[in-house]
Amino acid sequence: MFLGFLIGIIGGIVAGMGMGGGTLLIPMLTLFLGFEQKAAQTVTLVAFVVLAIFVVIIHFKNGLIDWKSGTILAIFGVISAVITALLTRSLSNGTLKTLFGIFLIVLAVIEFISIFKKSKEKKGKNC
Amino acid sequence: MKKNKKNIILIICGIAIGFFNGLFGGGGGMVCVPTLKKFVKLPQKKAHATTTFIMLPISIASMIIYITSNNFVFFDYVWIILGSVLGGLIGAKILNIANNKIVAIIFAILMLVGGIRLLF
Repeated sequence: MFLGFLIGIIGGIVAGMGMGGGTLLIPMLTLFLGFEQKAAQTVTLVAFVVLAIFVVIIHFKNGLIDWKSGTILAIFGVISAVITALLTRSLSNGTLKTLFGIFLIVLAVIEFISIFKKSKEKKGKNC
Repeated sequence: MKKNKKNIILIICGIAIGFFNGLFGGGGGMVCVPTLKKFVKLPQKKAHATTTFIMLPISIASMIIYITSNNFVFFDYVWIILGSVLGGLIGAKILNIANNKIVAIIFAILMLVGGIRLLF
């Protein structure tokens, strides 16, 4: 129970820093708490929704939301998510876990490249 | 950029964001933030804020399907969810203080390690 709370906090901190809502919470739930992949994804979605409601209210008050682009992306995102989520039901936990592992590695590589590029740009400017 | 071309790109990105969210229950933000920065030319803060706004209905949609497809008892996981909310608020506060580069590096390493461990 306490471990779950702690993992939730860590996952939440990552999400709060804009680093991708569930991306670290899901592997923590599967690796440290022995969750099945689909269960981990479900809990993460619920946690994100609860957290995001508060966050969006704050952003709304601060006038930080771009409604035009946001609405288009949200509408098509919802349609796509519903179709994909329905199709995902036929995947096994094991398969989904492997796919997610690959996904994380790809994201990590993209992130490293992005960090490296930014470092290069900064050094270039200082010259 | 022509309006039609931009709208088509947004539609494609929206589909991609929804795809990752539906498949993995997360990760959509990784497509969304760069999309908003590059094609809508939003500044950093607005890109992140708008992303959270976009991810909310998408995540709710995915969540409903996941909950109805699996046996999900809210009270079993309430501690994790409470922890997440608390963590999220802490994270938002840290965001202003932390060195972004170090945080990004740590995050990338954690994702890499996590990903590799999930494969075995």
